[in-house]
Amino acid sequence: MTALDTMALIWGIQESGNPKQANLREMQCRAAILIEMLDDDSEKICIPCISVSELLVKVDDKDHAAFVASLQKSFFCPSFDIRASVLAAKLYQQHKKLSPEEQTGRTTLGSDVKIIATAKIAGATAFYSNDKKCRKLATLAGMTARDLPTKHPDIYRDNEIKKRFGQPTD
Amino acid sequence: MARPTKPLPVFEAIFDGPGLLPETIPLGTLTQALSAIRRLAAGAVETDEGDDEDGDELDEPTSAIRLLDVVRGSAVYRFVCPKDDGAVGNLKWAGKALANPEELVEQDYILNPMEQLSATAKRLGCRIILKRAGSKNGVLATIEPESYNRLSDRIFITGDTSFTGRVQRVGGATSMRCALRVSFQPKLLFCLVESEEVSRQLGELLYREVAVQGEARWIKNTWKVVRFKIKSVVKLDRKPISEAFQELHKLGGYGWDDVDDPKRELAEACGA
Repeated sequence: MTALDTMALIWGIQESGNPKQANLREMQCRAAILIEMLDDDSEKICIPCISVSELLVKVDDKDHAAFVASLQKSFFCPSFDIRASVLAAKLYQQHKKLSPEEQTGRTTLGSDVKIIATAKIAGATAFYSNDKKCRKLATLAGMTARDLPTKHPDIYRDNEIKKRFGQPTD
Repeated sequence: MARPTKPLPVFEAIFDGPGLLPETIPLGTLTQALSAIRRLAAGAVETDEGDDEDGDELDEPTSAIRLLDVVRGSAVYRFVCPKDDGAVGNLKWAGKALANPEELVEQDYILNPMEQLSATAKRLGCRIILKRAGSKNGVLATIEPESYNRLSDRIFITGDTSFTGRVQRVGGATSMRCALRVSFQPKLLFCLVESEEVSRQLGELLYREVAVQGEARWIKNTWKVVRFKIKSVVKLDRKPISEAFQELHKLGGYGWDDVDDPKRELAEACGA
């Protein structure tokens, strides 16, 4: 089972996007490559409930129920349970012991550790994030942490996806 | 042909209570107690159902434990097994775990038999002493009516959780049960089911991938699930992720398209 951080999910869900968003098309393209790779492997996706609540922030409240129902049909959405709370505390403590360069310094640290702990406890073995420091947390939790891929292993599909997002092809 | 020599007993179980004699113990109770002693001595976890596709792993050679004789005057059951069987060691571990439950890590095989033996001790108003045969001070473990409760108070953590799995079996004559194939253990996880409605839903999802939510009981030191009651179940569609995301976009996810800075929005949502 694989987990993605909330930003990776957002890039995956977006179809157009506000050009003010940094590296928008590139990141949407990388998310699309990742999604195709995960589909190819029939990988199960875990979206912790804390990520779900973050995703809902920009979904109109009249759509919340339908959005969540659809999410639950296709993805496993574990809640932050007692076991995850133990791991989250441990991660937080371990994070404090990291060198200042390795510490996330993220304003979302509390949320990140909860998402990562929930995913790990739910059985995720891999975690994708474009944020290096978030990946460090996932590694501390015992998951394989990876950045969003820049290339699809199949060059033809890689070109096809990149064209779709207006990205340079090989 | 000469009769085989009677082997020497290796360990014995004494049902120690007022007026307790072999003939005063109902056969059903005795059968359950002897089965629990066998599992305790064999030192391996056996599923509640006992008919996992992995087979009855306690048949041979690990359960080469045999009842040798019964001594009247009290209710003493003597057992024989090969010397290298490890039965005495396993029973000794059970005794240690009773004395110090915090040390119970790998020896979780004792839990089910201990629950059974505590229930037996309660029913018969006795204590069950497991000891080396022919030894005055060879007590390995003493199980009293409250032994299991004392143990469980100290080693379990209970709470709601959820996980995914594949429904392998649903049903049960005496209680609603379900067997799930899960990623966190090689054997099937036998679960209780909270209601008939959930049981029916699980029945319709036989051999499907599901997400279940319910109450788990874990062993404190290892987080091994020893009991799980399913309260709700959701079928997981094997829809391509790309299709699922497109659907989410249509169902309101498009709200993220117009945001100037999604990272800042997320930070604000987290209270930053």
